[in-house]
Amino acid sequence: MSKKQKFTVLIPDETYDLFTDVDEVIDRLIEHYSFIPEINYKELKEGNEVEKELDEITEEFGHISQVHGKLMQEFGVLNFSGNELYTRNTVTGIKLGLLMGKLERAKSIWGPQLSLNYDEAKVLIQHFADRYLLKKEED
Amino acid sequence: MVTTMSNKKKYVKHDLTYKQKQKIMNISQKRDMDSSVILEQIESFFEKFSEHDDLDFWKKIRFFFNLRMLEEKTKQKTEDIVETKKKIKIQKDLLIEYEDDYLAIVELGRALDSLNKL
Repeated sequence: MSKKQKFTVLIPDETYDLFTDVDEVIDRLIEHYSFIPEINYKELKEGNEVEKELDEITEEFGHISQVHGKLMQEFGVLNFSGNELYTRNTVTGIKLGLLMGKLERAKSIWGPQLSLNYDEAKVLIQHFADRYLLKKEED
Repeated sequence: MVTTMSNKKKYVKHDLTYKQKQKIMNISQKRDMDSSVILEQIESFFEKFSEHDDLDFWKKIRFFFNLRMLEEKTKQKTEDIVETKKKIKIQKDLLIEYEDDYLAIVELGRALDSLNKL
């Protein structure tokens, strides 16, 4: 069973008095809690030292965000085209029953006399029906 | 409320706000971890910080957090790019397959139609 979780933290009182808004500090710590174990308290850099690194990485982030944005656009266009073709094939697939009937009829009348691979045609119709009408997942 | 540990250091027992509790609960659920881990991290931070009690130190910590956050975001975006490229390739292959499927089924339809006319 769930026990009542305590949501309090112990803060050394001198540290507590140092901050005008402890909750703001805690907000920040919650947001970045996964980085807390990485803090090297003895070798923290000064603001002006970090500023250059911050500028560089901000620039890099901006650049790759643009690259990602363009790729997402490309994907969006392809996805739209894919949906259109898929819909077209689904609509075409509605005629499959008719095609299947024609195939069976052709086989019963002419059989092997005609150069039509009935088994291959049947596999094709089945694949089409599975993908576009029954929407079965394919490997 | 001020409490005292065995080493005589005095501590303030600080209650988290409702919003902070919610945030911690969300993180612990999302990452499938006990919320006490996050609280312990925060306490350990204040413990270490008490050895350097000055606000400039907090500024340095904030710079550190900002830098790490940007590094993580950049790493995540780079991974997103790889994933999006994979999705684009899959989508391109699918377009070819959809087109081939369409042509094959239309061709079969024509072949069967021509048989009907015989």
